[in-house]
Amino acid sequence: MSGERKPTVLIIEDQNMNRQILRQILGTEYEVLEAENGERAFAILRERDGISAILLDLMMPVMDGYTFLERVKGTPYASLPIIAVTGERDPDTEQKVLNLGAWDFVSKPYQTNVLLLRLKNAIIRSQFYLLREMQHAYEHDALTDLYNRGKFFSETKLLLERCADRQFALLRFDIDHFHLLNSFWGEEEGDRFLRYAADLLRRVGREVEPCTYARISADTFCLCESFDESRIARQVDEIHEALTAYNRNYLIKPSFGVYVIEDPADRIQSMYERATLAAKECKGRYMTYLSYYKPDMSRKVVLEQEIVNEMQEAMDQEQFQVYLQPKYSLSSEQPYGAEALVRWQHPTKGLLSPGMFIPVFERNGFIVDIDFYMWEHVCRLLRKWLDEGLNPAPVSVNVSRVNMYNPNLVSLIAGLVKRYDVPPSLFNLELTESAYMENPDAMGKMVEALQEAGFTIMMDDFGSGYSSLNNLKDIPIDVLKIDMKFLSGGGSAGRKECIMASVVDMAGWLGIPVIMEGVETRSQVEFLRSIGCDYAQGYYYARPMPVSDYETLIRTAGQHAAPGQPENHRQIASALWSGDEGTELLFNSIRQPAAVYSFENDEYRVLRVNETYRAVFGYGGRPGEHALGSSCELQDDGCDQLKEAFRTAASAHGQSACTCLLPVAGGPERRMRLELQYWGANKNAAVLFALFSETERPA
Amino acid sequence: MDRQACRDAGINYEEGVARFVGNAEMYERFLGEFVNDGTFAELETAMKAGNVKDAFAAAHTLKGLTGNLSLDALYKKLVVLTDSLRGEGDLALAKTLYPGVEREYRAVLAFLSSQK
Repeated sequence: MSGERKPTVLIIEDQNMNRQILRQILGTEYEVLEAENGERAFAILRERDGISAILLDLMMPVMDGYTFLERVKGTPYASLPIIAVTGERDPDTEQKVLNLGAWDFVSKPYQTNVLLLRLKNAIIRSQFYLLREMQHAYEHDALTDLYNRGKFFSETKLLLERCADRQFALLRFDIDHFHLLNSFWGEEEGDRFLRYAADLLRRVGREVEPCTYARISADTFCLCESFDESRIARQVDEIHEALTAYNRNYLIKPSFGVYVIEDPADRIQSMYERATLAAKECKGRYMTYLSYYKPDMSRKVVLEQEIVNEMQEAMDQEQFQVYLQPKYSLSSEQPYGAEALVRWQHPTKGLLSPGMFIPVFERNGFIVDIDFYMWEHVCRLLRKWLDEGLNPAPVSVNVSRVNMYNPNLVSLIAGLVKRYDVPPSLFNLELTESAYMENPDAMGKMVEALQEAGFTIMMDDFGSGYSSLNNLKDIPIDVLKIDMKFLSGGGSAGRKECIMASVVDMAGWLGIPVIMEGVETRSQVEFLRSIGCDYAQGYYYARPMPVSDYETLIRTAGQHAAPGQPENHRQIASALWSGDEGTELLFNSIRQPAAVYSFENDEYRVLRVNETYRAVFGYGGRPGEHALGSSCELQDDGCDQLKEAFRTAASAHGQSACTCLLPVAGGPERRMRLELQYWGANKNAAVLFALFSETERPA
Repeated sequence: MDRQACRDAGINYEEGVARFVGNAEMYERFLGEFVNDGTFAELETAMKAGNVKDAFAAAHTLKGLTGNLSLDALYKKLVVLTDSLRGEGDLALAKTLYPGVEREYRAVLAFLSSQK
């Protein structure tokens, strides 16, 4: 026999004869399963698929109908239509049973036609609900119950058609590095967070009808609403704040992108992609979390694709070229060495700057090949210069972030310079600070291995990352590179200059030369010379140039290294700055006020004082706090006398003395004698030891 | 089965056959099986012991069964008895009703036994 399978009905009834009667009644239209109590019914439900309905007798031993209804809630069988069978057709019973989730009633004795009709209706109704549920599941995200991508796109399309007179915007956000949070927290907590984010979006969405909103994928959410820039800013701030507040122990950083819809007839998919491009602009930037779509973002994507398509061929054809930007010694203003920078001599587009293609290569990994390409070409150059007897100064090359994690980096580079027989001292390596600080322990080991192999290591873009000045003592680098843009941006006038002067000063005490990048004006050069910076690199002196131009430059100008520190610098530095108890004890055992000053550009500055000095002059350690701490504030004759004494000792590298009225802590000025002894120098500054003695008792 | 004899014994034969989707043979087989059903014995035991709870369960079951078999006279007596035993139950009332139920049951049983 063929034809449709009969639907299956499960009868739960303790009385055998009643079951038999029901079987007879239902048998023509249904497949019948029987259970004599609730327990048995659950067993059958677990074993059998495709049950369409349940006929449930309410009065049963073992597990009665009420208990069965309660137990079935929250199980996969809860959606099955259950028809309660009872002899009691009183309103109380009916209400109780319907509350428990039964779909309908039939009474005993059975009215065959009524029973069959009600059963059929219940099954049709349940199929309709099932269909609706399937429809809902098809259009909604299971985790958050928001619209899913497909439903969002079609609903948004309708919304834009319906409200054609208004301008709409598409707001899209995701969480930076959400996969990391997911792995920190575990998936369950990650899901909880996503539901939290969905609730935030729902709350925002309810306030701005008409709108559509959805979870597009994993951690990506989207909202389409009428365009109101200030409202969007408020919404973004609200969501941003609530998301970060979810768990402040983790960096939860959303990136919001907004596309203001120009043509409502565009594909929603394209609008969404534009909002995504905008959101991308905020990635990896901690302070920026909202960005509006601009047309050049799309052009960028097209250009990126072209770059990817052409990069391998460009390398094979040596379209990448080494450009060299000379570094200048600030004391002599003569060139010394250069940084190698990549340029792309494109056959149709002309000369491309690294900003156009390096970020693309960093994303797709091709940067590793570019690194090696540049290193090899620089080695060839150095080899050529050595062969020509040019006596070249070192050339530095960049090491990209990915390569810094390359476990074979040291042997790779060492092998390369060996192959070209180039002394490692001529091949300097620039590592970016931000990449370094991601993993200081591993990077420290790598740097030390490179130094052991004879390479000089420069820290590039110092101050752009998150290392504190305090880290400097732990980082085994040889040269510090700072970008002039460190001085731009916010901060009150003079503050950043002061910090930069301190960094250069401190690097000086640590014996680390400083190269300033991005130097463009004479006034910057003057400033850098005044704070004792060693080298400068930038448009003021020279732009990155083709190799032939650089060769001409060094042939005519020669190469001049900046002066190093004086011979006893290391000893002075360690005596002055070590927290060594012996030094401290010795210094403090002097019963007179004693101090160490630096003297530069006719200004003195206290570096260190002993206990007696502090007791007498009340100097607490803040520069400029006291007249004797720095020369800037002392305007009277006493200042002239003091300065003259400093000048004499500093210029003669010897001794000097003077007597003058000095302000003391909590009392009238005292006449005191100051003896100065030249100690050595830090860069341009003389380091002087000072001893004070009283010439008369106070009145 | 003789329709008139059935009516005299308090059985609504037509309704019973209709419930069995017009299958008279099946209906009569079930009527025959009622003779062997033990529910009345349970009711009898519980009534004698004065156990309201068990008496209610048995009366209720028997009510459903007799209803479905269209044993109308017995069913009507059982509806009243079941109601008297519901909840706390009124045992005194139930005891006055029970003999009527028993009488009706014996009569139906005698009739059905004679039909075999």
